[in-house]
Amino acid sequence: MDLDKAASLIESEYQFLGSVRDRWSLTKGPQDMELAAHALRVILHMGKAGESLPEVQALIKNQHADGGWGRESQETESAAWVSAFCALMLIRGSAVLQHPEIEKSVFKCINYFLQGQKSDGRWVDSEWGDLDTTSHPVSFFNVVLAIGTQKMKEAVRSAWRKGLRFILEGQSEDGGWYDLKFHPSGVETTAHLGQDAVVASLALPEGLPVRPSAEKALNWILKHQDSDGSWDGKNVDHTMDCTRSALLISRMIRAEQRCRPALEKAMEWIMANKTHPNGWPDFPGEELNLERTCDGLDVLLKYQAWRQADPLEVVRRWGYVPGEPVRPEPAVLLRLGRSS
Amino acid sequence: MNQQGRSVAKLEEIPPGESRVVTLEGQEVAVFNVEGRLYAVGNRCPHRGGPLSRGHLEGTAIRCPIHGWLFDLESGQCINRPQSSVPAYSVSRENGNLCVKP
Repeated sequence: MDLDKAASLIESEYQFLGSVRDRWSLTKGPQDMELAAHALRVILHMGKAGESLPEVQALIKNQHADGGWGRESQETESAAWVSAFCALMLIRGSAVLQHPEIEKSVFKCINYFLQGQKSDGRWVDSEWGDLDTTSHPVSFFNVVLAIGTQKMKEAVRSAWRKGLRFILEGQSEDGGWYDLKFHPSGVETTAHLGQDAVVASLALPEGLPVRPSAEKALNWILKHQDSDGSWDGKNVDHTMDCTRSALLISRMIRAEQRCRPALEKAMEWIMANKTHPNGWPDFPGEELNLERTCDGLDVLLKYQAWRQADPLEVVRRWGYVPGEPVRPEPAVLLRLGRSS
Repeated sequence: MNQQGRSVAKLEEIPPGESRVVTLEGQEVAVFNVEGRLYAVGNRCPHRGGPLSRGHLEGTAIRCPIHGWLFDLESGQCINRPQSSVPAYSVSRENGNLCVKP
């Protein structure tokens, strides 16, 4: 895919997302938390610290006393899956904005997940399979271990190991993760676990030996790609999941050249199946879905990073760069100071 | 709409193993032909709005293509998350037409 075309699409899709802020921004009223977190991920990837500030503040405002979030912002009961997604955005926002209020909120998230972990290392959420649910707190802990404070790292280390071990033990011999209750085909689960939990651990100095697991997952994903470049019967969501996962894993295990034809084909399919003039649907020909639109932007941003010469660009865009200092813009810090 | 419901498609338009989305009283309804037996349920999964018409048939259940919630086509009940469901509609055949009734 042409990088100029990717940059132009990122710009126009990001403008579109901004034009429908009322539909996803917590600053505009009650929202679906999963959608709000998807949108915040895009803002963070775009490097828009100033725009992320009010969203991060609103995220903190909607956090429950137990440290989690509900599926809808007005729900009072916390749910593991969406809480992990919000926690990931919060710690990444914290790395950019560096403020005690955000750090305090990250600690509340950490405690929420430490309290909720089962003895075998898993986390549960009735809306999702256990493997998928577990991958998200593990992913949050990956980022904590990569960019959190020393105190944060000490708090999560043991739980992270148990969670990661649960995931590694759940991988099948063929490289896929199969969830018989929710995802017997394994496509989405393998994509999520490959990118969210397993391969990120490669970036951590104290990681378990996960490279063979990551390689097997990548091979599984490539083997299950359809001839048109999509995955799972032209499923836009799962095609984006598999593409992102393969981008990250291939970069981290230095298999970019081998994977490039498959990934270029996937990107072509994703671009050919947009809704017009903006956004992406769940399936080709269907109406625009905002969550999928955020995913589409996320894929483009990650593809852009994948094409950079510096291999660390990819891990940076996923938020996993151990010890990487992030310098906030002075104007942003000033605004945060005034608001707290 | 008559006693049998609203005519939404010709029988031959939905061959066995396939589905079609129709609109009934402003709601998207997914109609499935499972080995000659017809079923109709609300098209949108209550989880994240996935289109059930694009899901995977597993006997007389449909699995949402997005996150895998599984619904019994007869009752609309979610099988792997029993506290959730989609509306189920009755389907009949009348003079080669499929009729769906809420």
